[in-house]
Amino acid sequence: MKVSLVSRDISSRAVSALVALDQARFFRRRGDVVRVYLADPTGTAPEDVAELVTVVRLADLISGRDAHFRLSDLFVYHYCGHYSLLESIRGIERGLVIFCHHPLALPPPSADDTVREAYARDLEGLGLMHYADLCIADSTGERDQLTQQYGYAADRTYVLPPAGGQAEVGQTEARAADLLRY
Amino acid sequence: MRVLMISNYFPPNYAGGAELSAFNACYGLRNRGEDCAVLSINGRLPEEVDQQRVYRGVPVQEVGYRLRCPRAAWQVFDPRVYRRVLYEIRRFRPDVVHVHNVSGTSLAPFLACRRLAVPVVLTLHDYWLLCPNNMLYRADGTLCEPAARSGWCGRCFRRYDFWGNVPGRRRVFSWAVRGVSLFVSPSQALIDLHVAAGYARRRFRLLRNGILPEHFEQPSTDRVREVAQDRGLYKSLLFAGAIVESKGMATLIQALPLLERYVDRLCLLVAGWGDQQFVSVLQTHTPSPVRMLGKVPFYEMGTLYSAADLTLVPSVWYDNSPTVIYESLLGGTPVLGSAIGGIPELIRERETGYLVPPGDPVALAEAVIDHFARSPLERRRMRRRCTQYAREQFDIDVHLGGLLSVYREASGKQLAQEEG
Repeated sequence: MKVSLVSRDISSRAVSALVALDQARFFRRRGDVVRVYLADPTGTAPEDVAELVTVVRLADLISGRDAHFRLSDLFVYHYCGHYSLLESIRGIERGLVIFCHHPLALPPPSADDTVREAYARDLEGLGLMHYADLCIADSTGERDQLTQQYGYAADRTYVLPPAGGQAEVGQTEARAADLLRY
Repeated sequence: MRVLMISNYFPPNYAGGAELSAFNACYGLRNRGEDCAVLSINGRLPEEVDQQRVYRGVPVQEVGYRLRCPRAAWQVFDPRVYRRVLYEIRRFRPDVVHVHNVSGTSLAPFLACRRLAVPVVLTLHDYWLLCPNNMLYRADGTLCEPAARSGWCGRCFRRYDFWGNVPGRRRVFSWAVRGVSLFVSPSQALIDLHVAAGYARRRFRLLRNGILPEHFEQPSTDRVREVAQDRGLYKSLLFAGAIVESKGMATLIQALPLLERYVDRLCLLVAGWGDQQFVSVLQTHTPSPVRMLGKVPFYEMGTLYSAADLTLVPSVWYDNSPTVIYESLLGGTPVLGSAIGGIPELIRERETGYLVPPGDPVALAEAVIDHFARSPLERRRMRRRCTQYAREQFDIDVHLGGLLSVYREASGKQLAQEEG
């Protein structure tokens, strides 16, 4: 199986990055052909998955130039706020598309307009989940929010909490296996 | 149960829908522990053949005779075929003989079975009982009315197949198959047309064909591999089968300019061979990329179906139950088919494909444009529905179960007749 993981980054300590990283390891160990697509060239991916990472522009994905992405059977998008590569979710014609939603950080009361606008854009970007076949939330509270507030189908929304709540490297990998149940 | 299947061709020599159906049934029955063998016999071959071979575990006795006498009478009864079928039945001692397409063998297999009082089941893949070219399709492109009793079919569409064109043909054929216990049809449309022509409805059993997805292999030819690699670069339409008028090739060619105008990055994949006139038009067609793939082995077709975005079956004759539709749906590719014959029975409008009036290039183009105007998400879901539908509806185990019931019923009928 060809798997495409799309994430903002995999080098930070953010939950989305750690989950994406462990999914990459999990699918590779299973024998799948995995690529991790990142928009952000900054940061260094852990050595063992560095070879799986491709930094691309949105145009590379939507034009069909990237053959692995074009021919993939499974697409997993990690959402922790809007980033350009997410837009590629709109045009996927084949395979299964999973939208992994991770909690957005609420701006502090003291945040300036730029931060607030970015947050508003992140919320707006959640609409992209409607292009996915399945949606995965980190908690039941988030699932309820996605289904009630954003109208995503409840029967296609699943809860898959990151391991331990601390999201330490390696602990979420077992959860990646749960993806396949869906 | 011991089953002898008789067919005029058998894979890999020739693998149209009828031959694949015979192969799938025989292979499946053997996997279930039934003793099933094939007699592939033909009286119209260029070379004499008499050999035993095994094809994917299925034992096949392949017998071929040269066409000695091209007269219609010889096509109605070939004594060489008669003698050989008698011999094979005595040798194999089947509980049931299952006859598939026998164009080219004459009616001799039925007469041989009757002489030895063996129960016979006949799968009808086309209209050969009613029509010398098997298709109820005339040279002027009109369709034959099965209820009308034509004495001599002079206006038939002769380029496809044409056999046993004798006066009172339907009566002769009806008499020859009176020993057939049950007719199996993969479509209701075919049953209805035979009933309209005078056959008793109670003799027919509707049984959809079953498919064996495990027989699809990775492509061995570059041209098929390239199509798989280019998946997603084009909006690809697939036409698979004989490139002939009756399969709607003229309609498709007429629709191409419209499609080119309204569908960007269009690519028409053509897998098959046939009428050179159509082939030339397709080969020289510009600017739309038409990829002529030639004859693709049936076990490589899975790759093409998966790579295509939409499969076209624009037939203009009463197409019975095209294998292309079964396999395309299994590969997740929706089918745009003509609303004729048994095609509408296999397609759920806008769920697994589209139906258009036969011979209408504008309607065909409109449906293709409509398909590509749907959102990628809708098309993705449609693909999933196609696979699910094919797995449910065309499951080989359902087919084999049905077949065994038909065999048992046929054996029972035969016993009743003998006792009666």
